[in-house]
Formats: sequence, C-alpha cells, structure tokens
Amino acid sequence: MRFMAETGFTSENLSSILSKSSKHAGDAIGALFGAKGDLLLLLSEGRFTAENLSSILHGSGKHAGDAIKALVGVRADLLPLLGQGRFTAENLSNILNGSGKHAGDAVRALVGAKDDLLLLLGEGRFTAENLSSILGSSGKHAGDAVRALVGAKDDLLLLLGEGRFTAENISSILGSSGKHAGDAVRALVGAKDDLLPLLGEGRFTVENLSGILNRSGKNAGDAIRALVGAKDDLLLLLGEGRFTAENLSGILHSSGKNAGDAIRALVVKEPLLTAMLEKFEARSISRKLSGHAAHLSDAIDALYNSVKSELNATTNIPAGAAPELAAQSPVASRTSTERDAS
Amino acid sequence: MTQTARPDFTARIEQSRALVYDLRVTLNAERRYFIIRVERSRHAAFLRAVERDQGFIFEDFGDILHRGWDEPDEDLKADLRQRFGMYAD
Repeated sequence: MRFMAETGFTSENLSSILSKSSKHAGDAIGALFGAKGDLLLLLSEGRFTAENLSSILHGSGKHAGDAIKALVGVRADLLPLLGQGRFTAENLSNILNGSGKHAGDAVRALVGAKDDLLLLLGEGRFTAENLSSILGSSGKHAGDAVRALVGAKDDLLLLLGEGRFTAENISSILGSSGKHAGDAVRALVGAKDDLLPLLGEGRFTVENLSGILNRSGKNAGDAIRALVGAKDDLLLLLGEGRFTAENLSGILHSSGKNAGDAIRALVVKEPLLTAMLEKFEARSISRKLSGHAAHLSDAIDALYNSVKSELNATTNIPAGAAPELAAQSPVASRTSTERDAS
Repeated sequence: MTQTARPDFTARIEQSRALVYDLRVTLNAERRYFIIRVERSRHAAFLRAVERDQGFIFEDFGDILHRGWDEPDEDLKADLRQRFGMYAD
C-alpha cells in the first residue's frame, strides 16, 4: 500500500507489470519494490506517468527490476525524442508497450534511431501518432521494428513524395505491423506500380485500399501481394457496375492477409451476389458481409441461404415476426391517424 | 419548358401522395428492414396485418422498394427523405 501511495501506481498498473511473472511472482514483486527509487526518479521528472510506465513494463514480470533500470539508464537519451513536434510519452509507451524484459534493448533501439525517426517526422511527412501506430505493440520486437522502419525510410518518403498515399493511409495499412514493419513497407513500395491500376475514376480510392489493408499488421506484405494478385478479379467486379468500390472495400474492410482469398470468394460467388442484388441494397449486403473476410465464401453462402426463399417468390412475413413501423411518409402518417380517429 | 417540367411535376405529386413505410421485422433471428410502398386501396388492410402480427405477404399490399438488414443506412434514409419526406425529424 505504501509503495502504491509513494509511486502513484494503481493495483491495475502493478498487476499489468507483474502479469506473466507466474511462479516468479515473488521475485518480480521483490524486483519491482527494489526498483522503487528508480521508478520515483522517472516519475519525478514528470515526463512519464504511472500509466506510461506500466504500459511499457507490461508483462516484464521477474525482469521488472532490470527493465526499470534499463529505462532509467537511457532516460537522458530519450529526452530528444520527447517534446513539441516530436513524440509524447504516450507515443513512446505505445511503441514500447509489452516490451517487458526487452525494454532496455527497445529503448536503446529507439534512441539509436532517433535521428532517422525525427527525419520521418515533420510537415508533409509522418506525425508521431502515425509512427506510434505503425510501431505500436511491437513489444519485445520494438528494437527490430524501429530499425526496420528506419531502414525503409527512403522508401516511405518516396511513397509520400509521389503524393498518392498520405501518411494516414500508410499508417492505416501498416498499423501494428510491429517487427514486420520493414517487410510491410518494402512490400508496399514494391507493389505500388501494381496498385496503381486499381486506383482512379470509377475504381478504388487510396482510402478504399487502405481500408481493405487496414490492420493487416504483420501480414501487410502478404496482404498487399494478395491484393495485387487479385487485381484483375477486382476490376472485373467493379467493371460489371453492380458493386461500387465503396461496397467492395466495405466487404473487404480489414481483410488484411485474407484479402486474396476474400476477393477470390467474391468472384466465385458472384452469381449468388448478383441474385441478392436483384432485391437487396448493395450497401446493406456489403455491411452484412463486412468483417467476414476470413470466411467470406461461407458467409456469402449463409447469407444467400437465409434469403433465397425471398429471391424468386413473394416475401412471406411469418406470424410472430414482431413487425414494427419505424418510419413513414407524411401522407401515410396522416392517413393512419385519420383511420385511428374514425 | 412545360414539356420537360410536367413529368417532374407529376412525379412530385405522386411522391407526395405515396404511402411509404419503413417496416422492421425479425426474420430467421435477424432484424430486417423493408421499405414498402402500400397501395391506397390496401392501406387499411396492411395496417391491420402489421398490428395483428399473424403473418402476411408483403406483395399483397404493395411493392417493396428496398430491403436489407438492421436498418437503412444514412444515404438511403437521405434518399427516402428527399423522395417521400420520411425521417424528417
């Protein structure tokens, strides 16, 4: 209790730090309490809150003491990364979240790459939030992730410089790619010429594509290659004019590494979709299928089976369907009021 | 001018008189919406059928203009607001 009062850590913070310590819980608690002086030093400087530190040290368990010492040891080097137009403590704690016993290596990697990271920040480039989103939760691989991102900085700046992708688009695609950020960036850069035919009037917007690839995370490379591999099929679906780019990207939203399979399922199941489109709103179908990219073929079958009785026949509303008039045109409203009055 | 204006005018009159409902039901354990234009001569029967909840066939009362799951999205609502004055509040 005294430890909590002195450091400002809540029981949730402590449990987050000590989680995974399992049979070493005793050692972990000892290490944490033994590092109280170092913790107070970090907190007293007012740059990190108890929440930030708990996020960074999450799961460090019996290595909590070492991790705190490493953090204290490099805190002076972290300072150039913090401040106006640079990173906030929240950004850094998001990047280092869960780095646990590797916190020391992760912090040293961040510090070692600070010049390159600062180069990526700035007007017309990335915000600290963008970079933190890309590197977020890379955990014990934070060091590798930072090095990979910085290693691909020329490619990233090339993508931005061409003006087709914004920093938000790229960050949406690469979000949480963590230690795979380097591979993901290289895949994105390598595929950019193949992605271009998908973009343009009557085709996809960059936002559509980044929506499809959103959260592909560590699989961003595979997802981009899958998307490019299926581009002819996608253009075929668009060319038939039944689905718009918004509908398709809605169905495929966040399909990530499953993008290729999901697109192929759309093409194979096109007759079922076309049958449903005869009676159902494309946007509603798209909303219904959204989030099922991993099993899209099954999802389309299930949806079709649930409505096929309506497609070629009258629409039977069974007893007990609890019909409810949610809205009506003004004249319908007036007419039913007159009916009630009479 | 008159020749091109007349269809618009007729359409506007028709739309202002249309008996259109957004009806929600539960089918196969899923919430569904149907935007239905009810024939004037079948209007009272339609309202009775809805009230009684003893089962009915939509096409007995009019045409289904749109259908989907959950509820119409904002774009469709905006379209229906413009065409039929629905969702005005």
